[in-house]
Amino acid sequence: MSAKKSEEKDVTDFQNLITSVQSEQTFTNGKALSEDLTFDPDKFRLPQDFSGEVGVVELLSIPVRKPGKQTWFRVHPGEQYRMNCGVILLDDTRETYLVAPELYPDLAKFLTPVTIYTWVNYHGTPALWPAKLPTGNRRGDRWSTTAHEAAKVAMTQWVQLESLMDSGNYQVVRAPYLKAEPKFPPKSFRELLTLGFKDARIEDKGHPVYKELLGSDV
Amino acid sequence: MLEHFKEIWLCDFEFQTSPGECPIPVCMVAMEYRSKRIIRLFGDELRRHKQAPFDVGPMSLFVAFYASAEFGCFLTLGWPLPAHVLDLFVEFRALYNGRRPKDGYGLLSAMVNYGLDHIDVLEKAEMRALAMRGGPYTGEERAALLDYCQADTDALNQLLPCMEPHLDCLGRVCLRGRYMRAVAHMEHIGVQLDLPLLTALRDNWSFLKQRLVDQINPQYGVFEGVHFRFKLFKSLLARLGLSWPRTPSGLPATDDDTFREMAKLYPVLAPLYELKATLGKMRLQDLAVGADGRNRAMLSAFRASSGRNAPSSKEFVFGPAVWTRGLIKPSPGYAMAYLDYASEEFGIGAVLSCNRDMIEAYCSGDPYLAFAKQVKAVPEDATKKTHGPVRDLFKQVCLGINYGMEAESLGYRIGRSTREAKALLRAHREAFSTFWRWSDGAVNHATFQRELHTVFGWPMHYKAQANPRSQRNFLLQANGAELLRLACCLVTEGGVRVVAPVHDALLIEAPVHCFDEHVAFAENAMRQASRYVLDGFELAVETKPIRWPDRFQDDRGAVMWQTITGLLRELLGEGADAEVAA
Repeated sequence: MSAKKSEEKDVTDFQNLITSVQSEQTFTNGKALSEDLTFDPDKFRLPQDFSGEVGVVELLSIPVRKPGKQTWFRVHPGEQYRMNCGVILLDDTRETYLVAPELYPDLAKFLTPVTIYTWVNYHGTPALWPAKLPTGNRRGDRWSTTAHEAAKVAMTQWVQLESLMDSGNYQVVRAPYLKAEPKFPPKSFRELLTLGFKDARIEDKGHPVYKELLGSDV
Repeated sequence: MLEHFKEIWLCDFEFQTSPGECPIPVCMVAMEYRSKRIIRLFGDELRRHKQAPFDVGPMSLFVAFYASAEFGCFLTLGWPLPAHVLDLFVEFRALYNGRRPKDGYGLLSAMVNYGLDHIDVLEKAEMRALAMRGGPYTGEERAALLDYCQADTDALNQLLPCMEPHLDCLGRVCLRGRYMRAVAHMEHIGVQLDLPLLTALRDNWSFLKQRLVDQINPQYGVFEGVHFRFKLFKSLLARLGLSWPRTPSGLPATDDDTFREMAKLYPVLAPLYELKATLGKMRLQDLAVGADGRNRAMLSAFRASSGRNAPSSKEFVFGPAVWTRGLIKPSPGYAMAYLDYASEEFGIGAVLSCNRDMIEAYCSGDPYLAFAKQVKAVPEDATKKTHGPVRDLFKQVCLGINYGMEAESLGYRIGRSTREAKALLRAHREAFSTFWRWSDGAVNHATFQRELHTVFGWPMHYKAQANPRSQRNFLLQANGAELLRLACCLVTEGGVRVVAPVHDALLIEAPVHCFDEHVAFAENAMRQASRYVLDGFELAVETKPIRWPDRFQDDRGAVMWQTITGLLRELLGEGADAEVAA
């Protein structure tokens, strides 16, 4: 490749090179060679923007459960995203019902006092975690105390929750590589509660669970 | 779109070839598409022309089916190549990429696909054999060969109007045709090999194979004679305590791809992999090497669904076991350079997904370390030197993700548990969320639109049950192919001798006195190609020069190369030719 040839075919003038070759002649039909033949990358480039083809996520419901042992999770640190309240845990179906405060006196012996935490997994999927509050039962309280401690750690770090059956408590595993901030859904705690306890809210004395627990006709 | 051209020439050559040599044109028939004017020329008549006997300038379109073969004849004859090319093979391949026609992508299949009649297969084989036999030809044979050649030109004449309505825009079609010119140049030049050494290896190969096993196998104990024994390999894995991918039936997978990946993970197995590959699939006799010591193999452009080349792994020197690349050696007075796009797929993914963090990571010069820093797996002041293993881990994660790996396979690749691999995948997802959004969107597009395409229109068509992993990978691979094709065009058109395209790299050669100038030109051209494909973004190009008397070196095959040449030296002893024994 001589220096002269190098200059002539400098790649930076690539477009001009092609254009100049083409512009030396015109067609017999009187039509200039289509600009299509000029390699203008902007003209021929096809869009690669596929990001817009991802669906929009709309939450319809969220689970109410503690994080699974394989789940890396973070707890929302905002006080407005947790709440102390009474819930009813049905033994047979393992369902959790949120109880309206005015019904606490009637259902007192069935109520479990909990803190409901808002948490998300690594993919930003939200859930609610009703963690039992200590009751004075020494063995049982180890579970609840360590659950709250775990929730506190999870407010600042990605962790997994592990149950130690022998000692009757939880421990957390800190994530080695996950440092990114969690993505909590742009919804209020009230909205999340509504989605979580959509079909599991005892708000009046006519609720079937209320009646069943108190021995009334359903 | 054809109305833009003054003349449209349909052309076909018959030629004689032998492995590693340039084609010898036997005859040519060209037909002007509109006027139906026909030019029939036999070998001696062809050689009297100093250029094609029809217009190949910018006002004309050259049409062929697999044009690089025709251009091989052009180059043998010393004819300038046409300015604009429509390759009906490439376009047929594009139209049906992913929905393979029943009879493949050949001319006959294309004809059948459009309901056209053509010469039958047996007759075609017979005439190909006659062309391959070489001259002298009787008058009857000459006429028969010309008629056969014309039948293929007639086929183009029928095929073109059927395909035209389905073709992509002219600019993109001609861009692909343009690459076939570059392919012809690369095939014509070929890769210079160390012919005396190759000859010595070929002559002594049976002996060397057994000695190789004797030398390498003792530390593994998996061969009996020259045969790899599966049971012994299982025992080896147990002995070394290595975790290994399994086949669906639960046995250790020993296919070439798995073995290659695992050898990267466990370097202790690298010599075993090379030995297995060397004994299992490689025959030195199959390397297509001409009398001038150049490896000329058909590059099989556009044969891969990504649009990449798919040359024969037996005939092309970059195909067999890696150590054979040591045979590549510039001639005296020449030097070679291996120019490689750095972290090509990472860069392409970063730019096309418009992920600023990935672009920043790429621009740092070490995207993998930058990724590790972004997820705070290493401190901000970490370097490749201080945190090499973590950096390599994150590199493997990035490469695995490009191939659509999920936690289990990634775990194998990086030698970590599935759980750790899952955490790393999540870290990548979180660190580069817009990349994943783009990638997820591409999968959705492929699912609902049943196609994906590159920046310059190389398409992939999907059936209902497509594999999302390959869909994610397609845009990275196929745009990478687009990039390298354009680089090949720019570099060859600049007059630089590209001897081989290798995935995301080019191997060039030049006389020593102008080597630096050619390398600089090629580097610029590759960066230019990157700017075209990636909308102004420049991928980095890394260059490794190889100056005579040095030879090409690939670290992955270094041990095997040393072993084989050592054995050969031992065998040939003092009487060996100095060049071979050196």
